[in-house]
Amino acid sequence: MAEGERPVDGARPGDAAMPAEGPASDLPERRTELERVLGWFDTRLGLASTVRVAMRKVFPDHWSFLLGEIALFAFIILVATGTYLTLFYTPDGRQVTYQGPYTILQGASVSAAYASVMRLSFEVEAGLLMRQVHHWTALVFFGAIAVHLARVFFTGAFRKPREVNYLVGIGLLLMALGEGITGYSLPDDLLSGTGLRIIDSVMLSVPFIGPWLASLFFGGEFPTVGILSRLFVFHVMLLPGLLIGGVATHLAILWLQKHTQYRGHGAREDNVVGLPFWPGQVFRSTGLFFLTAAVITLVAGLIQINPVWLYGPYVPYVATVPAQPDWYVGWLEGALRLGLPIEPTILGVTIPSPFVPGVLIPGILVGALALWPFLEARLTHDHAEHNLLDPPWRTPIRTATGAAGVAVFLVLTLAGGNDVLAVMLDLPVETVTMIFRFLLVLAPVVTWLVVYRMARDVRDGHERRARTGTKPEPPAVLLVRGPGGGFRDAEQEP
Amino acid sequence: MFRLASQTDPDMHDRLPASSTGNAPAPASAPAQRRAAPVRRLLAVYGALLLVGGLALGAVAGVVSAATTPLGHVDGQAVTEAGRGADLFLTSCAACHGVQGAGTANGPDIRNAGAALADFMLRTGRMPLANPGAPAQRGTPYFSNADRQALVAYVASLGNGPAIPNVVTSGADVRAGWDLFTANCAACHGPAGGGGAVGGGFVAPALNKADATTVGEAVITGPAPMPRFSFSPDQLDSLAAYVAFLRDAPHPGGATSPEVGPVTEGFIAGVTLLGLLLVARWVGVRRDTAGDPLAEEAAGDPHRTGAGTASDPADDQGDPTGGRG
Repeated sequence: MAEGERPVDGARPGDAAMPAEGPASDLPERRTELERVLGWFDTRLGLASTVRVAMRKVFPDHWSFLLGEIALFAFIILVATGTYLTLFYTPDGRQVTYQGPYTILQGASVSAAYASVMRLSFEVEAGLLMRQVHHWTALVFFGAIAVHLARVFFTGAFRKPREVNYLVGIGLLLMALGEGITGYSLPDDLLSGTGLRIIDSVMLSVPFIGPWLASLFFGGEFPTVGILSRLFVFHVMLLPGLLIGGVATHLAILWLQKHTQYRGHGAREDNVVGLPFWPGQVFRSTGLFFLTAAVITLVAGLIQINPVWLYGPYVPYVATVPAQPDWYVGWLEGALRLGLPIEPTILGVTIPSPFVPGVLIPGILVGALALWPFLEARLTHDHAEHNLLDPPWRTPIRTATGAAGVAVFLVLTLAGGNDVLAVMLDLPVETVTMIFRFLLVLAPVVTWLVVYRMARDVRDGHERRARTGTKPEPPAVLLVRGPGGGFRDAEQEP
Repeated sequence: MFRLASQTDPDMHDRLPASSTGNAPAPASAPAQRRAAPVRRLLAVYGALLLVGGLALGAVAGVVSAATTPLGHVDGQAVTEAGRGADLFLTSCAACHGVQGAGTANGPDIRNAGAALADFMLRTGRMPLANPGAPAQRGTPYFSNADRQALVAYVASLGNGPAIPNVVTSGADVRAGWDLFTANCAACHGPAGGGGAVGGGFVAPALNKADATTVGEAVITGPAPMPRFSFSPDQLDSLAAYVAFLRDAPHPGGATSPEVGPVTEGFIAGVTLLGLLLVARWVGVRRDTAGDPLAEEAAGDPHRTGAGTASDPADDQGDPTGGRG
């Protein structure tokens, strides 16, 4: 049955009850128990035909279509390990006396939340492993999202009719960022609290509404005892709920619109070439899930992450160094570190210095990313549907712009670790900061120009060969074996 | 009790321009000029290896030297040592710090540095500098133990500075040390003593080579830009004990480094992601190895018969190879 023949509206449950295409008189008494049970459900729900169509959904083969799946699998691991952590975590900012087995801290005054994370780390069975798998998976999760987004962007998969799903994806990215930031803050260790203090400052910097915004979020003036329970609700209920709904929407739209695909091998605008879901992609994906889980668990089991016992509990007047957010928030941290220490007063309103790098620039960057499909359609006047992907060299402007965006992101992320880099490079941290300020302006421009020229040259080469009908010749090298047994290039002088 | 007199230059290690030689006698035989930078670096590496190998030995040696050397303002024995020390001072230190230790344009007044700061600088190889502008960083000690003790005694006799503290970590309150460390030290040296940048080109050094005496000397003298702390001897013991604890701190979560933190973790996550990309590349299909299509969704799908096919006829013909070989 062709994928397109979906049940029409008005079809009744049971219309397609028989799993086989054969006539109804095909020996119904010999049906197995399983078929009888399935048949029972099918006469009531009428899902057989839908499932049959779904089973035949075709997935393109190319490995770059698996990047989003890695993100999905990471999310599943996060939900599973996070559920375990939730069983033992206490979202309580009130002070208790630490009595656990980590002797250094015995008798210290810590928050109940911090104490529960210490208990997770040192007393709960597999608690530390779960913490580390959760944290490492979160770091990999954002990496997978980033490369998935890069694949979608640089191949033009966001074009009509997929702009909506692209926006859903951007929404998922933002919700995931919210998850990351709230999760980073929950252990209430010294780095957590430092991060919250920065969030507080950025919120306060918003003109007009800043103090109200921060007060609304923190439930008073920072530091508040109640902030952890608020973050907890966001981290384990609101945002996961939204993420699960968003992921479901993301996949449903994908299912409905079908995959994009690369050109060649019989791929056309009106078909999808690849593996059917059953019995093909389901095994590929299952295998990838377990391999993803295996790689992350291996790393998480061998390499320590976020040793909250070394950082100690959050005390507002205490600091530690190097103090960074997790890498996916590094670009926001970097923007703040590169931000100029100026506070202009415009029309009687003072703009605090964190506002431009902390709110305005990230807002512009995310906005540009989200609106790119519409911007590109307007610029190119291309409002047609596209199911075949562009290799990046076909669209030099898009590719160059995307590469420039990546350059900005990289510079900001590296700038977020300017103090660590300063030690590594043996330079004063102020010098490193100045270098990054220049790079932030220069890198995207240079990247844009270089990538544009490269993509255009490759495209012109392809077009020239397409016009003249010649196929690209692989560079042939003739090897000659010498008397000594070695090989040399025949065209080179011995 | 350990405070230095106020005229000691707090910018003891400020990077001064090498050109402004001032009125220093600057003997040509000053060790600074004799040693080339690469040699020094090699020596530093060699010294680091030695130090890592013999940490326990070093700690013992430090304690012993602190305990057995009568430094500071004891007259009798110190005078003899200071005589040798004065000679060494003239050849190795006076070029920058002046003949009387009063400082020149190239180096600060160290008359009130005391035995503690002199011992700290010399025993950790921070002094003498390769040149007046160089940062004072841990390196191979230049002087033998006897020479160093003589020099320290001489510097101590120049003024009124703190003596070398007798820091004993055994039996000290490590928990109190943790409290002191997170409140006073972690902001620059990091939660695990991995060190960090503190601005102005200064680096708070990693503490994994700092023995108890070194910790105590640094805390009470405050080698610039580090502040001076007025800790009691008990507090010094606790602090040094926690620094020693950090050196062998348990890391139940697996491999770790003194430079703990999200930057290191981010790089490791990046490597992990690369591994996963390779996995995906292995699980999926690289187009150049793809065989015949295993399945094809037929035409006629309502979502695939839009303007897309009609408006973009060149797509399929434009590049017969699909551009992917």
